[in-house]
Amino acid sequence: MKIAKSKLGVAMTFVLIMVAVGLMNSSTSDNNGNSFASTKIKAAVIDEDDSEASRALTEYIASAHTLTEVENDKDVILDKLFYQKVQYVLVIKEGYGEKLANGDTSDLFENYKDPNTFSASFFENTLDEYVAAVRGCAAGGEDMSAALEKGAELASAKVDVKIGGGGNAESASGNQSRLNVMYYKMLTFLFVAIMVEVLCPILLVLKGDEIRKRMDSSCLSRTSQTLQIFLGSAVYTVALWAFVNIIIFAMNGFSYSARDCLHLVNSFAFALVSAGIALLITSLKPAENVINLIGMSISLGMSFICGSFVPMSMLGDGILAAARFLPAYWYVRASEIISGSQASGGAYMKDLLICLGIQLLFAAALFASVLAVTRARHGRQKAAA
Amino acid sequence: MFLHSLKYEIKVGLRNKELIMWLIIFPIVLGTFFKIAFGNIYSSEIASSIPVAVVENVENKTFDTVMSGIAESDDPLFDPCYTDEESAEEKLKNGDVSGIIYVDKDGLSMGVSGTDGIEQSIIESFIRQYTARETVIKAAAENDPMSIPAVVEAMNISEDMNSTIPLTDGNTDLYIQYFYNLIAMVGMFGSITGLHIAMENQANLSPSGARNNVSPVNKLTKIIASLLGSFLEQAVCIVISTSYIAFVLGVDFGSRLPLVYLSGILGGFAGVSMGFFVGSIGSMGIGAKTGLSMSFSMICCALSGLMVGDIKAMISEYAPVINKINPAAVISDSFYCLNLYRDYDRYIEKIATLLIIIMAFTLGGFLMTRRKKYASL
Repeated sequence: MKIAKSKLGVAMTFVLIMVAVGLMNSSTSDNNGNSFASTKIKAAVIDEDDSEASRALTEYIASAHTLTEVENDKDVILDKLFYQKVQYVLVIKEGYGEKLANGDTSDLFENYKDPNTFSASFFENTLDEYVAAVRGCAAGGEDMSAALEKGAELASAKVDVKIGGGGNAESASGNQSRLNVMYYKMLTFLFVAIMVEVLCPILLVLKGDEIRKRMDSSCLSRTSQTLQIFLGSAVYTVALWAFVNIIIFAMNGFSYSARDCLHLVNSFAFALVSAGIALLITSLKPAENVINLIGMSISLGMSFICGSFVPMSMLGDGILAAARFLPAYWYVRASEIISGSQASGGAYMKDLLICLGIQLLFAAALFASVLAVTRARHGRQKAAA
Repeated sequence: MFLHSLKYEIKVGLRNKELIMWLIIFPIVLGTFFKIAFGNIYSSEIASSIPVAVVENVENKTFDTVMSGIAESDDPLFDPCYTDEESAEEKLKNGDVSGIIYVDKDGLSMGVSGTDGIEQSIIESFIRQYTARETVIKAAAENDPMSIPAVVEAMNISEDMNSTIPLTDGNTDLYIQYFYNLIAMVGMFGSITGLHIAMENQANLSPSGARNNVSPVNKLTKIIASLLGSFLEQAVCIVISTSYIAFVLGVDFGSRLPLVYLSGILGGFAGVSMGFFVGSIGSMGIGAKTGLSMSFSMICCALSGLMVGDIKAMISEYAPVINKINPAAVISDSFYCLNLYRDYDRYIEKIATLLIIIMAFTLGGFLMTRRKKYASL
């Protein structure tokens, strides 16, 4: 308990990081409805023309995209583009209105963008769409004001979209709280980091030579000692799992659905895996001052490669194929299945059970490895004595 | 005496093989994972042709001409595949195409699998653009058929309508900042070595601290030697991990690599001095101080964007002062400045901030450890 108390601050830090990161991530919200919503690019307009036509264009861009303000300073724009606070900066050059009225579309705009990205192509597509529509209406005999209005109307016309064909869980997570999904995905980092950071030092003390010798000379059998260590670790694991879920429960406004119960089961399976990882690290007896480095390497590395921080859909097929050999992959996949809009029916349940089963197999393999390593070490110690 | 203390400090440091090994292995393992995870993300975001299935329920020659014009251009936006409805939906379900364009007698419509997506939005935008042109031409045909050639001509956008102003010659891959933050994290984790300097110089906290305090060596000389030894140790770890990331993983840090090393090394010094400062606070045990130091390092790294890339940008919007004083953010910003800006103004500002942080932590540690007397141990 003394050791656990000294590590409480670190454990709380990890929980705080999870809450903060989850909140930050959730603030970058995507479409959560059931109809198709066109992507909105974070765009900024620098209007050097300040004419009726340029103001109409700015208005159209504001309706089609998310308009943000940006200073006309290259360094500021570079910062904003790099951190994706803005994805496209359009400079409407002086004389735009006049040129448009005369039918001249050369040298109307300048732009700052991250070249060759889909977001830049998309923005330029919508810009072409608008200019072509305005020019077409003007050439068809409309006066400029009417052409500007009609052009914007045509460029914003609704397209008939049919949604179907399955789709991935990432975009179809629809009605599931985005924040909730984010938290559950981040447990791959949180559980492993806290288990290793807090459980390992406690177990390392119990496995220290002096304490080990004192316990060996007591009337407790080795099996009973191992069992008690396992039980102690189990209590700690359950406590951590419950604590984290209570926090998510609280963040969720104290309401739980059937899906959240499945998340509970899934997170418990991964908590067992994390306990297995912590026990295995302890059985290898690392120095106490490197435990956090080992914990960070495993928790962060596994989380990144298995799609906890980056959506699985963005990772390559090769990476996902390699990630299948890690328990976090099956945990994240189960989370996505639970959160997916197609979360019903037999096939869904079968996939979910496979993911849960594989996690439990990983946990069993880790516990078996712990026993094997402990036995081998004990055998070597006996032989040396 | 200083050189003697320094020599033994380096020897002690080198004997702590496990810590040194992990300080080197940790960024190598994480850097490799980052490279595997992020290596393809940026290139996958670079625009290439969007695979799209076309289901023609009625023949539309104009549409076919437009689509084949797009597909045969030098830099095609779409990679169309003409097929029937059933097979198109199967392709969509398997992720072989990003969307379906249906050509019906009422016009064009679209089929997608999810409720959003940039590729799907581009398909939607193309359909809208096509429909708008069709509508304008139809209106011209109804009002004044003679104006059709002029309308078609007017709707051709000239290629030099929109020109791009280049901002930087540096690497604009957003995911490079994870590597910046990884090196910053290695630097911050140098606090573990800094922590031991303070612990081993306080008689009430460790047996070697008690021995050091009764020895005739000047305490300041001993601490400076210990700090220098740890700085050297940390510098070696940073140089190895940065070299691995730059040369083995091939992460592009820009053209000013020596200055990247300088920033990393100073980041390592900031971590060591921070550990020294934390270790000098009060009489808490090594466990509690390690916890405190690790918590602080983790918070700094998390706020710098180790887990969520754009967290630093959000902080710069709402609480910019945090980015200015967070050592991990300052280290990662110095790499960013070297990569993207042509001048050195911002880089010098970051390096100066790092030096101030190092001096503040070191002086704070000195002030807390000096002239301590122990009534009993």
